[in-house]
Amino acid sequence: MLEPKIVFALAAVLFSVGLYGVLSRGNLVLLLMSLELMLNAANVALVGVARYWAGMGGAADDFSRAHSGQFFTLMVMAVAAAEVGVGLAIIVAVFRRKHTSAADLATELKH
Amino acid sequence: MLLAEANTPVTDWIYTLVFMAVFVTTLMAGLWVVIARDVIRAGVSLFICLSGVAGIYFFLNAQFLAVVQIMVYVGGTTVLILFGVMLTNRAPVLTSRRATDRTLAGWLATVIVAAPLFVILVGRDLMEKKDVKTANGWFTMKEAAAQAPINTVALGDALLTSYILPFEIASLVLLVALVGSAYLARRREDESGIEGRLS
Amino acid sequence: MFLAADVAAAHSPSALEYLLNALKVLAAFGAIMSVIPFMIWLERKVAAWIQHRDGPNKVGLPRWKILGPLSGFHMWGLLQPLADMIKLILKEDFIPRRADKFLFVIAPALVFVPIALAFSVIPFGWGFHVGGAEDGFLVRYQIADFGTGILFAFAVMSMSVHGLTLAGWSSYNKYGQMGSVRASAQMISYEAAMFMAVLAMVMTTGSLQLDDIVLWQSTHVWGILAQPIAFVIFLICAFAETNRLPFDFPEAEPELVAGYHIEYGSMKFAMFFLGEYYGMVVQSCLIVTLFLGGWTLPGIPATADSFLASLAGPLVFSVKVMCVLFLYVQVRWSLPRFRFDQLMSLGWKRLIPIALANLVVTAILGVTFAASNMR
Repeated sequence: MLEPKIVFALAAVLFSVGLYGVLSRGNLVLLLMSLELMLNAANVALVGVARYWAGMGGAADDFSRAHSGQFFTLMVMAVAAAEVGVGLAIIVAVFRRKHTSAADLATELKH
Repeated sequence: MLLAEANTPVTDWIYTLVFMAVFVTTLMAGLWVVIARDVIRAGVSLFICLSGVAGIYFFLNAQFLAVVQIMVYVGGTTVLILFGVMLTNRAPVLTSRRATDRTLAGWLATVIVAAPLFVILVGRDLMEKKDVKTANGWFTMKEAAAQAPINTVALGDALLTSYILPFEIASLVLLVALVGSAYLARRREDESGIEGRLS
Repeated sequence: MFLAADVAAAHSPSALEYLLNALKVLAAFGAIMSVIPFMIWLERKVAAWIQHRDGPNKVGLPRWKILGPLSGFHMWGLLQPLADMIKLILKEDFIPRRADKFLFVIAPALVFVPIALAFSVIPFGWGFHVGGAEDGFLVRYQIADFGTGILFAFAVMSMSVHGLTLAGWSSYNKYGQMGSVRASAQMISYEAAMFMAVLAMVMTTGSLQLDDIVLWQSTHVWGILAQPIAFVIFLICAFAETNRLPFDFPEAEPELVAGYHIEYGSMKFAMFFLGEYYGMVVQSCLIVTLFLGGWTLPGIPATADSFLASLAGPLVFSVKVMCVLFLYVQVRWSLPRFRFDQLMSLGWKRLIPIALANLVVTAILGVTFAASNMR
């Protein structure tokens, strides 16, 4: 018998893993991948909560509660798609200038 | 006849087994994204992890979201990311230059954020308000049959009534992102770009 | 109107249905795998016909006495694909020394598996009723019938580009690399227009469920008449998605030698080859389902559920699919190849705006006239 917790555990693990990736990877594309992991972790948690509310039963506004979780997941997906598009454009621009995709070397804004 | 009966232990068992398989695959692939040294392999495990998340959505009664997840993330975002890897890296086998000095700091920060996260998400007993529908746990055939799937029509209605403002803002964000990324990645006259590799 | 949804909701799955579904999967897979060799033969025959040649005409039955008058019969070269297959299996299975071996090996499967998944939601017919009036149930000619079937089909189809991309990238070859970059660029450009064309059809029929779309067409008009612009856009994009000749840039012979599969040989190459034909068949099935009325034909009852009457559905469906496949082959051998930048500008500057305009017009017309259809 599986508890709902297992979904939240998955979300927590994915988020932590993504966070670690963002903090420790040196390649810009890998940073983007780790960001995607974190966003997906949030989505899993949102859908899990939506499922939890839908399972509670009884109250009249359950339906909208369940929907708000799924709806915000949709929003996160849209924003994530935009984020990847802009992120990749920036990476390509950096690569053209520097001929590398290492995050440490894009330091123009420092000086 | 045993075969024709709904919700036999066998069907329940298959259901749970499939769920566990999807779950473990997602977890492992997610871990591999940050472990893999090869950028393309990290991309492939991201692809597997995101497909696994879509599978989890199916089990969480969110069929529409699962399909959107496959469409947006697996079919769109990961393709873009792999595309980005190919445009910005030269050799077919790439290893990420690992910034070792930041690994410890990364661990520390991760633990600081992750510990409360686990306490909040996993530590609390969500099932304290037990009711009939969730008493069996979530991922059983019986539970899946009892739960009506959240209807795509209703989700669409909600999108255009209760949540019209965030919906419109999201569309604006997408438009801005589209224009912005086209501007950033445009071909400049003075640069010998990498577009030559495309055509 | 929404019959299919009612049937799906009325029944909770039992072990019997699990078994039945496994059988359906096997049957669908077997059917498709036996259609593909025939497709390859058809392709070569039509090519020969267009180019005034004979095409394959030698490989047929052996000269055995048991076969009587049929001994040594050439069978119009129908057994040629079998001979090709044996040749491919016997070839050396080669992996380049500096290739990424793991990705190199799984890439062909990544092309093949998603396309096979898309097959699971296609309705080949209505189905037949088993058992009594109360305790019986309907056996559908469809593996999985779920609410967002059409989105699912296109979503998993779009996953197959990863296989092409990784194949080209992992084989440590510049042509392969170019092929894979082209494959992903092409896929992204054409998917948007394709989805919009499908959405126009979804708006017209008011359902995301493939069998509902077919039933709508059987009671109203075929999709090709209801949405002619969407049909043309979809057809063009379907050619681009399967990497067939007017758009076969990832593997264009004159420029890229063989593109992403340049280093592949033996069965791994065969997987790409099969994947291409498999994709073609699935795309044709989707075209038939969306725009050509699926398994229905005017005059034949669409939802007859006695066993014999239900057989008409799959029959009509396969005839229609064959016609679309013939169109695929004919287009491949009669049109020249585009240039890559032409392909891109066709996708982004023509198809996407037209598809968008079509979508907007559909929405406006839908709201104005047919509120009853819009759900």
